[in-house]
Amino acid sequence: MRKLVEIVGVLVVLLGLPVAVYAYEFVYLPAQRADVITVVMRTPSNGNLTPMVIRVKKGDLVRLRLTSEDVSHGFRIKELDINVYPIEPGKFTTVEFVAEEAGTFDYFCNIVCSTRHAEMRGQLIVEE
Amino acid sequence: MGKAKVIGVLGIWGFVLALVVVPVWAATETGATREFEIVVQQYSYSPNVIRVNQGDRVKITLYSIDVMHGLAIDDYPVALQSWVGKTDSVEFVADQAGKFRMRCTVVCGAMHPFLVGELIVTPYATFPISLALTLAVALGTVGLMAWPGAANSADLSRRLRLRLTHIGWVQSLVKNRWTQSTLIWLSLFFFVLILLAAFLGSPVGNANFAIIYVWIVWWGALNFLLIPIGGRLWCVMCPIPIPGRWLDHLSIVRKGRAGTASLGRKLWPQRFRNIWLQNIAFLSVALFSAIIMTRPLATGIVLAGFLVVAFMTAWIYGQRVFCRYICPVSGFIGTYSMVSPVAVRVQDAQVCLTGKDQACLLGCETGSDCPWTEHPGSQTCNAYHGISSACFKRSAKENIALTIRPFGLDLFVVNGRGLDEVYHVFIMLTCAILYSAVYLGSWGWLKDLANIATISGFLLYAVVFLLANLVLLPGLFYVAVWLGKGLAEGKLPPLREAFAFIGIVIQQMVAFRRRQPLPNSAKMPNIPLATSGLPSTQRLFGDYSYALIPLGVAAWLGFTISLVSVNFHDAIRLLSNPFGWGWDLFGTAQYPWILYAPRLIPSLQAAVVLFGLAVSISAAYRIAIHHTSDRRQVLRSLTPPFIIMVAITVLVLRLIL
Repeated sequence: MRKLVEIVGVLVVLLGLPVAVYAYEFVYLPAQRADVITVVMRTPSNGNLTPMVIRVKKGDLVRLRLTSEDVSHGFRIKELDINVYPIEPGKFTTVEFVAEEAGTFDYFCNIVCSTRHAEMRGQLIVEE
Repeated sequence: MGKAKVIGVLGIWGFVLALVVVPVWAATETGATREFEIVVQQYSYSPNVIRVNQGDRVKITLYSIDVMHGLAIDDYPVALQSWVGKTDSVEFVADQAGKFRMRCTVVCGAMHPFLVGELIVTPYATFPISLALTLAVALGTVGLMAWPGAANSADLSRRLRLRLTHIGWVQSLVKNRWTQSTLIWLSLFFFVLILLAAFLGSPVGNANFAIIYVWIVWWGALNFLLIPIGGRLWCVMCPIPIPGRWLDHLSIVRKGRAGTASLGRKLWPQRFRNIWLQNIAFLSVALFSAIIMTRPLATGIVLAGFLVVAFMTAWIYGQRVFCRYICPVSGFIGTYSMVSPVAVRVQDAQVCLTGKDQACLLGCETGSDCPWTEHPGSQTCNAYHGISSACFKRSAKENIALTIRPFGLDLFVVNGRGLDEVYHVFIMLTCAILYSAVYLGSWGWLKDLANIATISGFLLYAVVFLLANLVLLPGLFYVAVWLGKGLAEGKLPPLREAFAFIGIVIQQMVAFRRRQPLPNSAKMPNIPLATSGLPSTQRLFGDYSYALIPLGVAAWLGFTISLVSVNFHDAIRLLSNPFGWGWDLFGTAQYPWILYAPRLIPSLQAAVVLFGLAVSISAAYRIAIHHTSDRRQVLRSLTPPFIIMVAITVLVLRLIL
């Protein structure tokens, strides 16, 4: 009986904790925010922003969760009048808008973040 | 008292007083408007120090030239943010005098927590006052120690003992197998969480549980409580040797096949039976500390590396060989726990040595053999073994007890002193000073060197870092001891003796010779051995070096107080969001940036460091009086080492305040 308690205890710590963390972050939370797109900002030398392309349907309510993994950045879509800054490392900012027009719109960083700042650019594609 | 002496004493105290009074007088007219343009980049403000007079109107404009930065000033309502193309400015009246740190408030890269500048509002008296206090404390301590009868009261205090394990409930608590296991499981839980965060979590140090909970919370707990009060208490609950222990015992909580498990194993090589490996490990971690302390992945790799090495050495050699001979933290704890009142001690060594208590060596029915491979009969000093409940379990007659004694007794244990430990003392003291300069200072170029901004810069830093640790401070101290011996005996020993230690060190480090403990000349250091006189410079150097331990503990504590008070708010935030993935488990994810008690912190730091100096000076005196009862000779031989101690204290105070 005691042996069983010991083994269960160790398994809970060594396996249970990682499984719980995985389940919370990759199963439970995505289900809670199914339609939220997380955009991670990084300077190009650290891997650039992800995703580089976001596809939505015309008329969709688009929800973006913005964060940074190195220094502060900004997020701008000129044509849609979206301008969020600063996006600080480790912090999360949410932005919502309705994709009213079809087309391809560039989103880019608008706070100078490195010498390759101008390369921080992705595309929002709104399909008919 | 002769006239000259009176004048001398008055002169010294007058000088001390002048140090305080002059800067206060020197304050000039106030009310001017001062404008500063501060350029900020990774990781410096320039100018890094700005000076104004109390009452001045100060206007600061912040320009960033790389990424977004912030600027806040302790105790002044200043909160600026700037990025390229956007400046920010503020105006305020400098109504409080003193030194205030300007700190970056926006995470701007790995070294962000250490991006600081200084605002000095005159009359600035902190440093002169601390200088005066240092001298006052030093002179006061020397005076107290040299006072006839001081040694006797110290003798009385060393007999005070509280045997915790002789109290009923404490005894049943430590004898219970589940006590240590529960602690270990708790720390194992956090260790797994830390490894997960380090390898999977956000690469932003301030947003990662691994960085904050290892380098702020655990390191703070170690320096505030676990070492100075608890001695080797951390070693009871450290998770790193646990997998090796499970392997060793083929069991998790119960005793398992202890005792026989390690019989078929190899013996730890004789030439590594010293702490040179710990010295090297500590230096390596310290050299790369700017990387390890700020990058979660680096912290993860180091911790996982410790885990693997601990497991492999347990596999090959059994027991806690890793803790005893390799682990840099164990080395740090080991040497510094010599100041702690808590220790595991055998009550009657004879009972052990004569084999009446077989448990001493073999383990008994309920305990396992000593994980620290120490013979309990020889437990005299915290440096050589951790606290493990195995000790209490196996001693059938309660011969081994968890004991509370006065602080610092282990400093006077002559047995087992050696050059490896002496070097450990110097390495840790030097690192405390260098850490304070790199991380608390406002010099961006120093942070660039430590942070490997360029390879050539880092190589230069590494050379200077190693020279400071291995040659500069030990060398200075050695020369001071050599000089002191000359002063005491009226003629200097030969000059070549002043540099003799270099050859010895090189020999030790290259050959990894089996440690030769310094000769053991007396059991109770406080009983003056009137006739023997001062020993050789080398022996004296070894003995006096142990007196630097309290100062080292205090310097680390002073550094850690700064580190923790500035970054502790992150610990509360990260409880809710350990991986930096945007969780909010307990609703504290938005906990704001707070600097705890900014006015109180410097006084606390100064008090700690000055207390360390006082203990170091009295320890040196008590170590010296053990060689000769001639108080004049003792004081003369100690004067140069005291000057070094005072200089170190002043330097530390300059850096951390």
